[in-house]
Amino acid sequence: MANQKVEFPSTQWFQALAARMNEQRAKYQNFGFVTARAVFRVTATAAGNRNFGLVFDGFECLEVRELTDGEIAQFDPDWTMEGDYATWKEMVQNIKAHGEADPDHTLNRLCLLGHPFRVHGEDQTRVDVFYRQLFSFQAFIDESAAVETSFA
Amino acid sequence: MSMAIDKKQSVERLKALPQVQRWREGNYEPGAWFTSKPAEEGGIWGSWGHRFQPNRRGVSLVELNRADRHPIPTEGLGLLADREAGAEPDAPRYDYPLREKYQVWSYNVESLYEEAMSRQWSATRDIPWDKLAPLPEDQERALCQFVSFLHTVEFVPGDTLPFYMARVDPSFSEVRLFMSSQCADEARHMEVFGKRMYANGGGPGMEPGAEALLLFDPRKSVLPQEIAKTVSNVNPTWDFLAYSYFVQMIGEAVVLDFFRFGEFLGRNPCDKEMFRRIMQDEARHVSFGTMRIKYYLDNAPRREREEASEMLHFLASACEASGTGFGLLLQPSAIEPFALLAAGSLGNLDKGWDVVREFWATAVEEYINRCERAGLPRRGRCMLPEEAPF
Ligand SMILES: [Fe+2]
Ligand SMILES: [Fe+2]
Repeated sequence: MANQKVEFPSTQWFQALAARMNEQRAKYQNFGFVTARAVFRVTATAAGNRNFGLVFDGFECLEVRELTDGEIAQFDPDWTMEGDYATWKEMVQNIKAHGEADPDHTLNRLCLLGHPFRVHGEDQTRVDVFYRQLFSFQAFIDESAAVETSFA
Repeated sequence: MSMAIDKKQSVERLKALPQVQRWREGNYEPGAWFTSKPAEEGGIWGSWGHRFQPNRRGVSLVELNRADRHPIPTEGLGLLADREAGAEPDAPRYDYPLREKYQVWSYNVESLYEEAMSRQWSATRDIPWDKLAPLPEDQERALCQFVSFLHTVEFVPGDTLPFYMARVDPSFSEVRLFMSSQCADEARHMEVFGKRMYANGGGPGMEPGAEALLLFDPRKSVLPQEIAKTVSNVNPTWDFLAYSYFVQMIGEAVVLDFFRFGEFLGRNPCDKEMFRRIMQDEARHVSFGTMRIKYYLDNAPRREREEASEMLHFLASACEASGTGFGLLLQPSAIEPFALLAAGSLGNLDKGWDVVREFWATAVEEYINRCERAGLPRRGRCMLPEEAPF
């Protein structure tokens, strides 16, 4: 039976990554615990800008929900990682093709210079959580290699 | 050399100890440790009756301290013991130079320590060394030089952290624990860079003098010598505070940027993952330094706080102007290989340098943001050019 495709970007898509993370405790335990409130922001989609708030604690992703622009502040993220739909799509396709991000598509590679992705937040020390726990976040995004993704 | 006492005499002396005599007479009644009341009730036992729930991550210092009804003291006790332990009347007291909480504490020290323990890794086992792939010779040479430079940088905290750690009153054990974890991190970085240099057909490059920039050697400064000398002898009362700015906030922030850049440049999973692991460690060190300066500036007595703030601004101006910390980004033996790696080949060097320029701007912006967070606003005062000076 073929896996059902999950559309990117959507809450279900991030939930699929979360489910994969949560069922691989040993793998994530090796990387160390994660304590982050993260927003993944996809700009310039057909439906405008989309934001997904994720709560990580321990070795799990506990919560995924879509946020309107106005709800982001209340969600109180440590950091927001933001990029346009085309870049997200390229990254997700790259991960699918290689089983994990190739050297040109890792989160840090895409974010470092502030383009095509950008990591930002109100408080630099909380933004630094992104770097402090990056190994886990990269593994989390790389989980998409196992998700059958369709693009709107 | 002969001993002034023989074994027989030694045994006799041990037997003459009052407690040994007591036990020899069959009197096994436990002493004060068993009968004394807790300090709260006037005894010399430490404290009693602690309850708390482990969270989903285990037994964390964060929850342990939160649940403790005894606050962390503002002044250290000078005892080599847990801060809530009792002390026999004749217990030796020690004069630790850093004995006030505000002098050593950091807002996030408990959680950072827990994170450090949770995210330890092995340079031998956790790096996918088998995925290293041969690089073009100019690229491997550039990477080896870059890594040789970083290897040198790692000696700095390893040489200096234990000096301060030993001066922190043990009442603030969380601070000592965090500093130990940082020592372990730095040692592992030295190890992994040392291994990487030899791992892919290359070898260690030139000693780049990076440590002199971090340790503020006036000979390496772009400031006039008179000013450079003043900076290297800032008021020693604030030695540890200055250190946190110098090494943990500006030096390691730049080093963190280097590690992020290393990940950016990596062409195979081995180099990528190595830098990704290292970056995490370094970001903790920077976070500790930043929030420690903030704690100091929030909690020192008013007069001292004002003077410390003035000193930090002076130090920041001097470091920015002299190229301490950011001088690492002007070090030819680090930046040239960096540009060559970003270029991908010698024919493409212009492109590589453009990336380095962009990187400079990002690094300066993040540094200014961290200063802001530490309560040391440098926006508008920062002596560093926002754009790369090349
Ligand atoms: Fe290090
Ligand atoms: Fe460090």
